[in-house]
Amino acid sequence: MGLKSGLRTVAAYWPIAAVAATCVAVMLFAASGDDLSVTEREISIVARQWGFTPHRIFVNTGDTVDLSLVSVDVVHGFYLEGHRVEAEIRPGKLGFMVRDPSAGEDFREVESIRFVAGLPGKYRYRCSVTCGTLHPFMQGEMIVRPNLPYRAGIVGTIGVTLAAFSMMLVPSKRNGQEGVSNRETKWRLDLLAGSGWLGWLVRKRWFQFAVVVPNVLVLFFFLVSGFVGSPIGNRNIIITVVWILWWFLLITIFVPLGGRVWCMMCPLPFFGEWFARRRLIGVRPEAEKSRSLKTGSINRTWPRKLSGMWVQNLLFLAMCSVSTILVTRPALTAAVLGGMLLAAVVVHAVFRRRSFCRYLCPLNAWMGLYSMTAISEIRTRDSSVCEDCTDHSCVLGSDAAWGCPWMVNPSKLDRNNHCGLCMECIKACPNDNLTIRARPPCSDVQIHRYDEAWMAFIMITLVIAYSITLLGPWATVKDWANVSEVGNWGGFAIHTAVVWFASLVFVPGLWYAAARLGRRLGRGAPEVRVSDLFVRFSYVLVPLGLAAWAAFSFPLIMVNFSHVTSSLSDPLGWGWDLFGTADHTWRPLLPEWIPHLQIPLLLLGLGAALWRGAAIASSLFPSRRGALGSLLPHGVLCSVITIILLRLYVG
Amino acid sequence: MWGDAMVKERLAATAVIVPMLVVAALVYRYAPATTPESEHPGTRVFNLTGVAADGVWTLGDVNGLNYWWKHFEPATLHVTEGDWVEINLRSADLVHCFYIPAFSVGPIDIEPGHSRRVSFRASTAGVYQYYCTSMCGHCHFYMRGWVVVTPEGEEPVMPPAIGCPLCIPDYGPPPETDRLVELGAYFYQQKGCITCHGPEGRGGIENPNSTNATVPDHFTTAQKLFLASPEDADAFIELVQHEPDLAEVDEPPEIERLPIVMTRFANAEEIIRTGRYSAKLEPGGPEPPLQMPAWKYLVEEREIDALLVYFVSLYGWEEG
Repeated sequence: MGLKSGLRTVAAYWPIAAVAATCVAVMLFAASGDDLSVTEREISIVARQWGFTPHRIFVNTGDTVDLSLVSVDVVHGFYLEGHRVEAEIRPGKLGFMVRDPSAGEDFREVESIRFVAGLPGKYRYRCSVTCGTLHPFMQGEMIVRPNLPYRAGIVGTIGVTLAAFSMMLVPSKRNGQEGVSNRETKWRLDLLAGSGWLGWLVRKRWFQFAVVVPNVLVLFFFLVSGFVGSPIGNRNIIITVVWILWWFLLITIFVPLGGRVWCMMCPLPFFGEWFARRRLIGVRPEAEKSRSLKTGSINRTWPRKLSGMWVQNLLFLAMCSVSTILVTRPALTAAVLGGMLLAAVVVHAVFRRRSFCRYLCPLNAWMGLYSMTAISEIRTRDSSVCEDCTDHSCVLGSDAAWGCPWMVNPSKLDRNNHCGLCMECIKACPNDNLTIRARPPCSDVQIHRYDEAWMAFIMITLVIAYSITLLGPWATVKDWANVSEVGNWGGFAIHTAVVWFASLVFVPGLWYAAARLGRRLGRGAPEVRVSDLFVRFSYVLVPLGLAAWAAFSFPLIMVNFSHVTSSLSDPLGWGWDLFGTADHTWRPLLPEWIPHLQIPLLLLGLGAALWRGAAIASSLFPSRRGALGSLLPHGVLCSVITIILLRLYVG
Repeated sequence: MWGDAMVKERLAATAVIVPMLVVAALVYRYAPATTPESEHPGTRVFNLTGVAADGVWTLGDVNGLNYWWKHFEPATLHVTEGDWVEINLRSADLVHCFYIPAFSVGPIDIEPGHSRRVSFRASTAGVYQYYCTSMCGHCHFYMRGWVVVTPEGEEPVMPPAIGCPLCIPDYGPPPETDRLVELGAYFYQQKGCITCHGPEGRGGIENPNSTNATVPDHFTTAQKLFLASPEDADAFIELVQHEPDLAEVDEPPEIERLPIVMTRFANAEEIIRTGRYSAKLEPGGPEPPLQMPAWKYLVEEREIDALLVYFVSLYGWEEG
């Protein structure tokens, strides 16, 4: 017990320490192969729709770079992060225009520009003049050697991994004695205790209506804007707010703080639910008994065969296959969102309650999965109250509230996955036994189903795929994904096939192999099967995936934030200027800091993954060494995924 | 209780539907197509949108939906002599540059999402061209149209629209041949040279306020290279055909004044590579709209050879 014995235990595992030391040494010295002498370099870069050639340039810190720029199709820009270089390049001209973006000066014409390469790390150069559909993703990378942030990230990954595994060996009061069921006695804070404003608010019948209606109006406006507004994505509010702002908020704020809190305010099922309930605020118990469209919904039960998450997994994957087109075409985004709204009306008319959200909405599967990490939850205060309860209003509904629209039994809630936070059960419970609680992150760890495991595989694959396609410097891959304009269907087929194969077969295959190995390494629990490890450990991809998505989303918002502010003033791209921000020049927000945000985020995700993985392992295996062995292969896979992402973001 | 609840429901429904109608009405009211407002009464107002895919400045409404499938027609601006004219300019995709040299309007960059307004007085009757003067894709050189200024009471003339044959129908792949003359004929159209230098290099395209008045022709290139006879011209075409690098020719064919021909050929290549500025005729007048771009990074070296030998092949020796 304590530090001493902890150290003694670690010392007993000297091979791990030796491996660690070797890794760190290799990392630090591997790069000494680079010639780091300061020199002058002449670099010329060719811009075309939508990429730069070369797409990656290498310089040493302190180098003087003589840069010349050429465009070969249309007017492009060139914005080099962290080096006060912004240029405008016109085809058919041998010089180009340059200015220092931070000094607010005017462009001046030059043949080439000189600058000194700054601190080590990765800097991106991006197109700064709207040049067509994929303009926001047109970028290249300048590596200023020695790339210390990247190396620090790798050393950090190894360090986090080793630390996590070492800690599994340190005996503690908790390890091995306590399961990871959600009913454990961990820290919880009842947010509705007493007579606070939150309790008052969520018990009001008009509460959900009040949070949804603004979004309904906004969505309606966005749909109009998508169809009749500018065809340019970065000048149309449906693209800037949905795919830059909303996506960022969802990944970094809504899901980690509130789980599925977006579902509480989502406008997509609004009209469907209105049609089925015939109420916006009040409760109409007979709506639940309706069997005809005249009185509401037909209220059929969703077919059992389609009730897993497979439909959603595949729909989500299908949507993501065309996402490069989706996020750059206002009309397509409007068509998809409008189509979902109409689909929700149809499903609400035929099937019970929120069948659309639970079984069809492509966002449901991943939001449910990642909501397990949230620091809040709706749960019963005291499960024994529910055992004695004969009322069951939370499930069946009453005059005061609808029965759970999400078709879960609130009295038995033990994880966030299917709870849409509509607050009906809190209103319904006659014993005031349901509440919202704050809790430590990643408190839900139970994945027991293959469809949920596969969602975790799909999401981790997609974040890597998007980091390559959208945030990467490879114009060819962007062209493949941008098939509707480029017309390279062969490339699109390759792109789609790789994403589908990787997420449905390759990553699960690796996971299965790791599970087999883990089963062999984990000792002392003969009843644990390979399939148990495969499914249970898929949870470690949840915190890791959320962190990866956050690391993916920060550059989106930091680079494109000024598109959001300018389109707030000119939402349809028609030349309006509502708030005086329409003509804001595009400026990334501290872009050179992006890698320094991404590295800690990824390490945090990896740490959380291993921490929860250890909890799952110790619930399966009685001995510490057994648990460690079982987690080892999946833990290493998580480190590899982290390193892949580090390579893409900062390498 | 029933009544009370239903009042709430109706209020809620109103709170959803009325704002939606208001939003729709506001969007309709302030749509560019329905708001030709101007501070000056009696002013003619046009809304032009640049569309790179079709190479047009169009009067049509270009929106998120129709941009992807509709073919937009180039605008012809009809005004009466003496009218004040205002043009609201937008871009539907990327940076264009609008220019009416006859009325000293522009050249002005039109960036996507930033609308610009220009105005001028159509003081003199006539038929004038407007241009896009910033390269904007395959159809850039066709991105021009007419400003027709008609005296009061007269019938306006209807000049034919300037369309881009590269797009309609799709221009197709280069001919499957290694003959430079044939390839040159293809590139001459495909790269857009033809739009300024005229069909078969015959020139004659007006370049307002330039010292040359029209864009240089190219059917006399053989003469400009000092080639003396059709036989010499053919021999020179064969030479370029077989020797990509003229500086390293070991056994030059018998062509009169070959060193001079080669020097002048190299000069011609350099003009294509680096472009050429068309100087102003009137120093105080507008910039000539048609400027030779620097093709250095836009075409291959061999394509320049092909274009030049195509020009050589165009010379009419019998007439000369």
